[in-house]
Amino acid sequence: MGNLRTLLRLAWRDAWRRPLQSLFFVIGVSIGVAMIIAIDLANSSANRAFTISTDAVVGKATHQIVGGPNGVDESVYVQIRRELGYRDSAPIVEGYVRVKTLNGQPMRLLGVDSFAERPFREELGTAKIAGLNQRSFSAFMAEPNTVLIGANVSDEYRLPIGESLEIQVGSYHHKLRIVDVIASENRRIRRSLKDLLVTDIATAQEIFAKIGKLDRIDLILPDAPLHTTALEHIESMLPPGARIESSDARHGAVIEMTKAFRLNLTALSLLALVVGMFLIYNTVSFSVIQRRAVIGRLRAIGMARGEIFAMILAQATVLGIAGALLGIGLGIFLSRSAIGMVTTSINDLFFVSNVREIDVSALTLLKGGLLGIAAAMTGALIPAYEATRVSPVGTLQRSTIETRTRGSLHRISIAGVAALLLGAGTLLPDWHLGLTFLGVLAVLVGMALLTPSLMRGFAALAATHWLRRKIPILGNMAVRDIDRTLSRTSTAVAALMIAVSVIVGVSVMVGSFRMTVERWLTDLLGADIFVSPPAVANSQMTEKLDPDAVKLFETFPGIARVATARSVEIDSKDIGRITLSAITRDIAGEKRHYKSAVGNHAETWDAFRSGGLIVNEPLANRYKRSLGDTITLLTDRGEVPFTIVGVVYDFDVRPGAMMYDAVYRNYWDDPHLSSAALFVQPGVDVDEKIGSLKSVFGGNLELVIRSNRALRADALAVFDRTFSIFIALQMLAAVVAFIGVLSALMSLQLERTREIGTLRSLGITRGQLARLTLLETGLMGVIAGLIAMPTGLVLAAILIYIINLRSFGWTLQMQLQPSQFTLAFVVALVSALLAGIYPAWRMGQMQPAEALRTE
Amino acid sequence: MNVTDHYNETHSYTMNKPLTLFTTIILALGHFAHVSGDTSQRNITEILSEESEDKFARAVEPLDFVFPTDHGPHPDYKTEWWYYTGNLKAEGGREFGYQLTFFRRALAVEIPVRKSRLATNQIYMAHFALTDVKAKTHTSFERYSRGAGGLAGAQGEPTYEVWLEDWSVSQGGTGVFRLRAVDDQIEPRISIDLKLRETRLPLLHGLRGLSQKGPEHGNANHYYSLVGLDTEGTIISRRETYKVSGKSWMDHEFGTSAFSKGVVGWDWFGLQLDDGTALMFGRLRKSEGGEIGIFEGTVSYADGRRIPIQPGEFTVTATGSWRSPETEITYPSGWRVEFPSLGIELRIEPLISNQELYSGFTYWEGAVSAEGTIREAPSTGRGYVELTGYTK
Repeated sequence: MGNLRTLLRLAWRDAWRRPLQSLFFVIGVSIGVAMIIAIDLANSSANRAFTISTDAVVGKATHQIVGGPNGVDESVYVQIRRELGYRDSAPIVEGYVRVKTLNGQPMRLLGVDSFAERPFREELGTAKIAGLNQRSFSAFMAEPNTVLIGANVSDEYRLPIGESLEIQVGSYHHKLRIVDVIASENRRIRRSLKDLLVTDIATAQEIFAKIGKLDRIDLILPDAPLHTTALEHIESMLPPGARIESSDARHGAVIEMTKAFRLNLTALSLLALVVGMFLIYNTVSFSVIQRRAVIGRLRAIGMARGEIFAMILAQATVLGIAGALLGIGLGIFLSRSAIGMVTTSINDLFFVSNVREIDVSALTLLKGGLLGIAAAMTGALIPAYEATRVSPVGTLQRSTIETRTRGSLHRISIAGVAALLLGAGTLLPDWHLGLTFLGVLAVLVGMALLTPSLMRGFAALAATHWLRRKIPILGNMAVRDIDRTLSRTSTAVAALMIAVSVIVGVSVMVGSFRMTVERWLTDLLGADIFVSPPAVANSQMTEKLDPDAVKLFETFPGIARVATARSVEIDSKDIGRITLSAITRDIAGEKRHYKSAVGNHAETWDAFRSGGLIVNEPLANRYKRSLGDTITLLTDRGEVPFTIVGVVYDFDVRPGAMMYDAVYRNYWDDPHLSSAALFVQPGVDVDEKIGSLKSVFGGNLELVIRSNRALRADALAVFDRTFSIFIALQMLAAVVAFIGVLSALMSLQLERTREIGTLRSLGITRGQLARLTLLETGLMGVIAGLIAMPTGLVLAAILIYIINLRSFGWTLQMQLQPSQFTLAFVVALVSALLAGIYPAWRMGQMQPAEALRTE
Repeated sequence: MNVTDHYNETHSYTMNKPLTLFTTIILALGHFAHVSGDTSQRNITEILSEESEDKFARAVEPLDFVFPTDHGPHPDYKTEWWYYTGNLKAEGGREFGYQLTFFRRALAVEIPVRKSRLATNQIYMAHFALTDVKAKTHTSFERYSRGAGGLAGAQGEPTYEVWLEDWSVSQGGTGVFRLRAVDDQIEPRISIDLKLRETRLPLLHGLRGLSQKGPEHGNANHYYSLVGLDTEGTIISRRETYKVSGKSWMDHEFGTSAFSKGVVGWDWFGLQLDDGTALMFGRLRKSEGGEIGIFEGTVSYADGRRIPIQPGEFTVTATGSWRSPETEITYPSGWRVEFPSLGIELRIEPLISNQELYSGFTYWEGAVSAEGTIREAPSTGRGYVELTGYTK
C-alpha cells in the first residue's frame, strides 16, 4: 500500500514538474476523445431522431400497404374494411411541409382517420381527439385546413387554439387553423409531436393534392397461426402496384440508406483518435526517456521493475483519465456543431430529418472515454516496457536507447512493410466496408513505422547534398543530432507525417471529388433554365410542378424546347428503393458520357425510348448491375422487368435510374411532373428570360427558376456543405498534429540543456544556437512533409478508388493540385518551426554555467 | 364459469370519463352515457344550449314517408338510427337474440365544399350483440367510422342500405332485407347472416310518425318501426353455426331532439306476441325518480289496427333487479306491464340477466320473454328491452 502511494506520488510529482508536457498529453487525449464522441453523438442523435419520428408515425403497425409514386387508391382501404372487415388497418396520407409560421422549419404532416387510429397511434384515436372538445373534433373532421398540433409546440411558439399556421407544400401555400392540441404523458410521443402536424385524412389529401389516394395503409397483422391467412386475405385484394411490406423492413431500408455516410464519419473520427494516439505515445515516451536517469537511480536504490512499470502506467492512466474527461466535455460541446452538419447532409442527401436535441448517451461517452484512456495506456506501454527492460546502469546512459533504436531499425522497417502489405491485403478485396477502414489504418501505421528509416535516409541525403555545403558546421550538427536522437525524433516526425498525410489525403479526395462533380454538372446541365417547385429539403425532389406552368413554358416567347422530368421513388423487387426520373429528353444531349451503353449516343437513346433503363453508377456499382441486366420495378401494372441499356456517371448517394417519359406513363398512373428544363432560342439572353418568367409567376405560384449556372452553383454548395464535416475533421486532425509535434519537439530541445551548456561554453553564440534549433526542427518538418506527400497520395487514392466507390458507388477522377501539397508541406514546416521557437528562445536565455549545472 | 363473453373491440373510453362525442348522440337518442364515479354528470341544459346554435332540421310535423327512400338517411337532422333486434330459434330449439344497430350523427349542419371524398360531417357508430340463451352469453361489439368514402353510410335509393364497414343491412327486393355482421372474418366467433321479410305495413309511432321526446316544440323525432319481420338465416355463436328462424323488429328514428331537463335515461320495450300483436312503449326517467309523462307508445294488432298509447294508459312495474358484475350498475330485471284499457297484462323476463353493453357507453339491451293475457286470453311472446341511464 505504502509502495503504491509512493509510486503515485512519484508519478504525480513528475507530471507536475513538467506541466506543459502533461498539458499536451491531456490535450492530445482529449481532442481524440472529443472527436470520437462528437461524431458518435451526432450520428446517434440523428438516428434516434429519425427512429423517434418514425416510431410515432409508424406507431404499432407491423406492416404497411404501399403503392407506386402516387400511393394506394383509397378504395383499397375501403375494400379492406368493407369486404374483408379487417379492422387493424389505418389509412395514412403524409408529407413534409415547410411551416412558415415556425421559422420555415420542416415538419411532417400526418393525415389520419382518427376512427382507425387507436390500435396504431393511441394519441390520435377518437378516444383522445374526440374527447378533447366536440367543436374542435367537428372542425377537425368536417372543415378543410384544420390541424392539431402538439401541446408542447403550442406552448413553445405561443400558438393557442384558433391561431393559424402558414405552411408551404411545393409551390403552394396553405393556412391551417389550429383546432386543438394533443398532449401526451409519454415523453417519447411528446418529443415526436414536436415535428408533427396532424390533420384528418381528407384534409391531408387536399393539402398534398392526393385526392383519392393514400400514401400507405398501416396494418397490424396477427401472429401465427392466423398471420398467413390474414396476409393472404389482404394480398388477394390488392391491385397490381400495391403490396404489403413489413414496417421493420421499411424502417431498416431508410436507416440502411445512410449507413455508408455514417460509417465514413465514424471512420474519420477514429482516424482522429489514431492521430491522437501517436501524440500520446509520443508524449509518454518522451516523459519516460527524459526520466531514464531518474528511473535508473530508482532502480539502483532497489525499486523493482514492476513498480517502475506500474508508476509509468499509472501516470499515463491518470493523465489519460483527465484527458478523457476533458474530451468528453469537449465532445459534447463539439457535437452541437457536428449534429448541425450531419443533419444538413442528411437533409441534402437522403431524407428530411429534424434533429433538435443531442441525445447524450452514457454509453457513447463511456466508449469514447475508455478508448482515450486505452490509447493513453497503450501509448505508454512500449516506453514503460523499455524503461524497465534495461539494467539500472543502462538507463543512466542515454546512448543505450539510441543504439538499440538504430539496431532495431530494420526490424521496425520490416514491421512497417508488413503493415503496408496487411493494408493492401485488406483493401484490395471487396470486403466489408469496416475492414476497409482497418486497411487504411494499417497503411498509416506502416508508413509511420517506415518513418525512422526514411528519416535517416533523408537526413543523410540532405546532409551530403545540401546542408554541409551551405551551412557546414551547424548543418552537420543538426543532421547528426536528429540521427542521434532518432528514437524521439522519429516518433515526432511520424506523428506530424500522419497528420499532414491525412490533410493531403482528405483535401485531394475532396478536391478531386469536387472537380469531378463540377465537370459532370457542366456536361449534364445542357439546358439553359431549370424550373422546379420549392422543396422542403434538397433530398426531396418529388414535389409536383404545376401543369399549367409547364404549358405556359412551351408557348413562352424565346423558349425553343422544354424537357420535363418526373422524379419519384420506386420500389424494385431486387434492390430496394430507387429514385426514378422519367424524362422526355436528355438535357445533357450529346455531352452525356455513358460509363457503358448499348451503342453510341443515338442508339442508346433509341433503346431507352423503347423501354430501356439508364441506371446511375451508384446503382450499378453497389448492386452489381451492368448492361443487359434487368431490374424488376413494381409498377401500377405489377412487377415489370426493365433492361439496363446504359450506365451513367452520377454523384447521388442514392441508387437511381432514368426512364423515358412515355414508358413511365405507360406503367404508372401518374400525371404529374417534378421539374422542367428550358432551352432558349439562339440569341436569347437567359437571365433576362428568367426575369420575365419570374415576373409571370410572381406571387401566386412559387417556383424556383434558375439558370444552369445558378443550378450548378447550388449543387456545388450542397456538395461543399456535405464535405464541411469532413473538412472540420481534417482541421481537427491538423490541430492534433500541431500540438503533437509542438510537444515532442519542445521536449526534445528542452532536454538538451546540458548539451547546450557545453556548446555555449565551447563558444557557440545565441544566434547560432537558435539557428541550430530551428534548423533541426525545420529539417524534421521538411522530412515529415516529404514523407506525408506520398502517404497522403496513397490515402487519397484509397479514399477515392476504394472507399468512395464501395461506400457510394462513385467513380471519381483523381485531380492533383499543387496547392494541396504546398499547403500540407507548409503546415508541416511551419508547425515544426513554431515548435522550435520557444526552446530556441529559452536556451538562448540560459547561462552556460547554469545550463551545465542541471542536476 | 365465464357467463358473459365480452369481446369489447373498442373499449376506447375509460369509464370515468365523459364521452363528449357520442354522449350527444345518446342524449339525443334518449340514451344516457353512464358516467361511473363521476357524480357531476354533464348538465343536459348545457349540451342543449350548445346544440341550439346549430341549424339542424327539426321534427315539428309529420312527414309523408315514402319507402324505401325514407328507410335511407336524413342528413339534415342531427341524429338518426336504425335499430334491428330479433328473437330467433335454431332447429333444435336453441334460442338466440340479436341486436344490430346503426347510428348516424352529423357533426355540423353542413360541410364546406371539399375535394376529398373522405371528407364528411357524418359519423357512424354501430353496435352488434348476440345473446345465446342456452350458453347464457351475451357478446357485443361496437364500431365507429366516418360516413364517407364508402366506409359507412346509408342510402334509400335505388334500394335501401345502411352499413358500417362489413356490418350491413341491404335491401334484396321489395320488403326483403339482408343483415350481415361478424366479429372477425378471418376467425369468426360471432356472426349473423339473416334474411328479413316484411309481413306488415310500417308502424308509424306518435302522430303519423312524429314522436314527441319532450314538451318543447321540435323536441321530437320521426319514428316508425317495421314489426313482424319474418327472419331466417344462419348465425355463428361461439364458433358454432346454427340455422335459425324467428321474428325481427326494426326501428328507424331521426331528429334533432334532446332530453328535457332532468331526464336521465329511458326504458324501452318492443314486444311481439305469438298472436301477432306488437307493442312498443317506454318511459323517460328523471334523476330525482319518477318519469316525465311524454312517452308515446303504440300497439299494433295482427289485423293491422294501430292504437297509439298515451302516457298514463299503461303501467310498468319492475319485479326484480340485476347488478352488473362488470360495471356494478343495478338494472331492473323483470317487469309487470298493464294496459287496462286494452285488457293487456304481461310479465316480462330477460332470457338471460346479463345483456349489458359496456363499450363506448353502457346500457342494457336484451332479449326478453313475455307471458300474460290479452283480454283474458293467454298470450306469450318475445321481444327486446333497452335500459339506459342507470348508475351504480
